[in-house]
Amino acid sequence: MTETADAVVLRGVRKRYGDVTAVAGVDLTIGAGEIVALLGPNGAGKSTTVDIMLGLRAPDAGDVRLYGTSPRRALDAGRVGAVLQDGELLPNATVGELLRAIAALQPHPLPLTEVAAAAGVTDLLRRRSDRLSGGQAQRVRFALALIGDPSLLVLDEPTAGLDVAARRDFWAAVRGYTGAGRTVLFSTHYLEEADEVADRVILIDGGRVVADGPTTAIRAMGASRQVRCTLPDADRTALELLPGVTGVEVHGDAVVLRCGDSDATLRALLPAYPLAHDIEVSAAPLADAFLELTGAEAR
Amino acid sequence: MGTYLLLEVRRTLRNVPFLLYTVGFPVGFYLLFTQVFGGGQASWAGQYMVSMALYGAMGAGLTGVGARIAVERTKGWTRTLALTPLRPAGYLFVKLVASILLTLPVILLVMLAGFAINGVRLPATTWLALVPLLWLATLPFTALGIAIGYSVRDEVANGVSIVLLFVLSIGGGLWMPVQLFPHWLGEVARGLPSYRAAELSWRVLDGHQPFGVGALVFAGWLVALIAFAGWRFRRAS
Repeated sequence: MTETADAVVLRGVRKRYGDVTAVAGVDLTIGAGEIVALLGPNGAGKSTTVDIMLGLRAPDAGDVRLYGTSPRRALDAGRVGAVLQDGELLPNATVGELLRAIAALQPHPLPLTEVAAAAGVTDLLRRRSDRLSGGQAQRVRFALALIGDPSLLVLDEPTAGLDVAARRDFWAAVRGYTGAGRTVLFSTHYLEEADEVADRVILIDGGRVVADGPTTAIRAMGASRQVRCTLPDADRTALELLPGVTGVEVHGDAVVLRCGDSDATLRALLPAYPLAHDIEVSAAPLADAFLELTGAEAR
Repeated sequence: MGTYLLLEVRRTLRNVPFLLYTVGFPVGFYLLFTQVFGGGQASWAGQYMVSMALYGAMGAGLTGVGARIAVERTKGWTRTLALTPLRPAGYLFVKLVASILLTLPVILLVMLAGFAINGVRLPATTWLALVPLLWLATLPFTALGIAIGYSVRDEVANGVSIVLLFVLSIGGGLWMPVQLFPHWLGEVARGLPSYRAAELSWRVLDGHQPFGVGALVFAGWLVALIAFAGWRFRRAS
């Protein structure tokens, strides 16, 4: 594997704004065809990292290569498309006009109808860009990112502020794009998106990479399992004493036990609490791993 | 870049409030001041035609370019463009060409109102000379608009360019002749780019060639404002 084959290579990237260190030395490599989530709490340095990756901001130190070349050259070659935060659409234009105008700037654009179908904006082509809902506008931004036929797609918190249905539609459109060996890097603070969409998670906190690995491995780095059950009048302190339990949440009758060893917990739970029912054992959500790895407080 | 330029022009033509403001106001004020207050003097109708055409074209350059660049920068559209092969200089070029194209209808419509409604009659060569002269006269204000667009946020840019438009157009004697100003204000007016820009065309109306001593002052302003715009542009991109 030569380094030039990698979609993204960041080496020792640092960026300060006055006294605030936004990015404190990030190294990462993303191979062609990977779908990677850049996960981190607000202010972790995700957006600055993305901006530096795309050449929109100059790093104070470090090196950025996209397909073995500078971000500017990769963008000029039409190899990179991106949906950025706060990228409002140009008003007084139709969606079709915007797509055609951006396509005309790109070296090897895709056919408009193909992009419109892929991004789910076919019905919107004649609509004015300033009369779209949040979800529609975001799909148009996605279409604008796709129109140059990029091999690397960078999405900076693409579903922030969208409702559940709009988020689902957006990710359906992204999945339609990922088939042909394209690379996708997206930042998010919605953990379930990283969980559902990405093959690999890069966890960023305080401007540093704190964890990097396959989504399943990152999930396993935190509390490994959770046991959910319905238990009337649950006593939290008593539940915490059960073997294998690392944390307890009680919401009315609903109880969630976070466990290191769910087998031991279950064996003790059933005889001690015969009223417990609707029992479910599952892998702990990425959220738990996320909280542990970033050292954030669970409550 | 041609497709993007076309989009830019179409967007402007679709922006009805902007068109009313840039085209409707100068034509309306021209007719108001000549028909209602002017007493129908032919020389006044001709001079005021040039003044209002320049005021309109200045408005298109100042508020059209300046405020829009500021809006597109503030709202992040320029970041989207930064991801394409279009360079900041190319973007500026598109804005500039679109602005120059859009000042033309303003100039022509005020002239049409002068000819058709106010009965302004000039030699054909004078009409033909006025169009490029008024176009040239607009350039310093377009440069100033660009400088504003690259300096301040969107909501500030609009206010600043409108205030500058009125200070410069009134101060430069476009609304009432400088001869009616108090002496000291007249001296100030003669130093302004707006007075010197209009003077190029006023001289042609009086049968002179356009470039007198005042043209040097105009050229000085033109060079200074283009340099200022270039500096603001480089700082921002």
